[in-house]
Amino acid sequence: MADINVNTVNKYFGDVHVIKDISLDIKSQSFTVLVGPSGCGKSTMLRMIAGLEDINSGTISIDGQVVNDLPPKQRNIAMVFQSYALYPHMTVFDNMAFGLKLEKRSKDEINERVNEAARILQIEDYLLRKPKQLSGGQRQRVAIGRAITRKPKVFLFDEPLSNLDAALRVQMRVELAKLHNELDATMIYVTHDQTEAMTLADDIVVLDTGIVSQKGSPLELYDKPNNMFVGGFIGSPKMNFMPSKILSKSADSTEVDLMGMSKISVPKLSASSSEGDAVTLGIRPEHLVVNGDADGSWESKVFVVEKLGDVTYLYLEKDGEPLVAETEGHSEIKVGDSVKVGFPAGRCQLFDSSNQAFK
Amino acid sequence: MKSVSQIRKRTALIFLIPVTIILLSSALYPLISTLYLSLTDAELENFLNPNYVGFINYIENYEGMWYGVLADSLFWNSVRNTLVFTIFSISLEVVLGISFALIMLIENKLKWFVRAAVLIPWAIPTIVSARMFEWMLQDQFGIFNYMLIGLGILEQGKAWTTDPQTSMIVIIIIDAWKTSPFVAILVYAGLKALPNEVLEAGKVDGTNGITQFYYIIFPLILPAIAVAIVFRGLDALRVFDLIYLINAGSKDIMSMTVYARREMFEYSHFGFGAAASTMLTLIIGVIAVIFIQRTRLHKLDEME
Repeated sequence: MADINVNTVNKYFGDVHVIKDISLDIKSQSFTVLVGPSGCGKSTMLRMIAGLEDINSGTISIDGQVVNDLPPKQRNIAMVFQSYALYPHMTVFDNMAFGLKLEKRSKDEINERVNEAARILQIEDYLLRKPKQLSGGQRQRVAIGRAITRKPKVFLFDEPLSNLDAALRVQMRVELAKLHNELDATMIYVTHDQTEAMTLADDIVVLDTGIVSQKGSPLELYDKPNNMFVGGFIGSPKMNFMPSKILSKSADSTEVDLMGMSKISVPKLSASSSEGDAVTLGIRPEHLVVNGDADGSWESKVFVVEKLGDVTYLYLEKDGEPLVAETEGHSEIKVGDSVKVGFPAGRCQLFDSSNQAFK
Repeated sequence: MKSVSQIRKRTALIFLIPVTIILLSSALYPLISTLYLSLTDAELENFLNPNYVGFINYIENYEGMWYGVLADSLFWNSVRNTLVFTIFSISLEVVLGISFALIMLIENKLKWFVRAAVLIPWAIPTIVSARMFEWMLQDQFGIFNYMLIGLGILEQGKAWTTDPQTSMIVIIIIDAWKTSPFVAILVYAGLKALPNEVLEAGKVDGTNGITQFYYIIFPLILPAIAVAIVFRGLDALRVFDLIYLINAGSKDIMSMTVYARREMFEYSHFGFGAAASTMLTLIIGVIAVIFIQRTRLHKLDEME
């Protein structure tokens, strides 16, 4: 229905080059999340698709039609803003009906569509209230409702949950996922929160300083990050990175040094690297083995213990290199204890000096 | 030990004392003395020892005839003039002010010039702008008549400021020229404070320039416009300088203030003039209260 193609798009704000030759194919009815740190260009990208921001070069097409010069209303999109952006002087009903009213729809159709959206979002009781009489979560529902009533081909979300408290954010996240299943519309969602990206997305696009760092399904990004940036951005707590060195190469693995305490043969290769090269070894906290057997290991003192109930995070340090390891919730390990940390070779990532991942 | 709130209350009282003294001496005292004067027969000869005469300066029936301010058709004429002036000048100023404010919003290299051009009339003293317009509209040598004659619209120059048919219109136009910038500044501030995302949401919903203004911008800047109307309204109801400068004697444009001044300082009817002034204060007060109630301006804090 509504594929979106972004083709070598560039955007400058004055002298600042914020979007650099980005090309993206977003499949119809998919839920695509643009994620990245502040200033990576994700919101700008979304606003260009919405038509709120001009494109300096390249094309954006929706459903095969180039929309570069079309105003937002002709793009068949709806957008949900971070600040909700409800019309403060209109009731909830009028907020949701506004787009339809501008399209000169009949009263009956407007009533029907607004009530339908209100039912889906469970805001039927507030239809006659003004936005200021609603809580943050209710306002967010109205903002989503305003998008739904217009039945657009594409929904654009600009950090819609970041003004909500943690509990509500989780709840709304689930509802958004449900909504996507019900509506069968293409959704593009911008966030800086990797948890939202992982939980909602069919496809995640990681942006870094105006370029696409990697695009793929949540688990692809989690398991096979293209580079250190994606490795570090996806996953919480962050992936551990430690300096290492290639000791030898074989046909199916690369043997690296583990801080001088052991060696480990990681089943990853890179044609451009050679023996003696400095590399970075990456491993997620949840993949480290605490006080157990693994392919490589070293020992360190624990300086902080975080007990979360289901898991415990141990903060370790070895020669100035920090390391976070996950262990079971009811761990007996205390601050000051010495623990043995094991590195399963299959879970390790290697990154070369230009931060690109070994395959 | 005093509680924190007691200390705060005392501090507040201390800070309020100076302004209270100034207000009492500069506003309340003249108000009360005017009220008192209006109940006396004060004229120039007995100004220091006037006799109390009750309400005869306001209204009195003497041998079947009504006398006093309220029975003077010239007073009611001045009330009418003031109201006509207020309603039309403010309407014009609000329309022009909003237009100027929208023009000031346009971001380009000429914006400093546009802003200066909009604000300059506001900075010119009334006496200067009044004289300026008087000369431009002068019947024999004024540039306005010269142009109209040149265009073939008029056969001979017209005395715009003294002609009873046009003098009120001229005054309204001068006032609009002079004070639209004030409305423009207030509205401009209101426009600048509009949340950008709300306007963008409107664009996504399909607004164009006109529907955006009508459905979103205008309702959201209404509070700013209401504030501008209150300020301008109180000013316009008390208008004196412009009318006095253009034509102090003409009953076609005489305002309440000009009427009161004439009674007091030209005819030395201080008691009568004070009664006119008191009526003026009352009328303005009633209009202000009604307007503020109607626009719920006093509840502005509760609006959003």
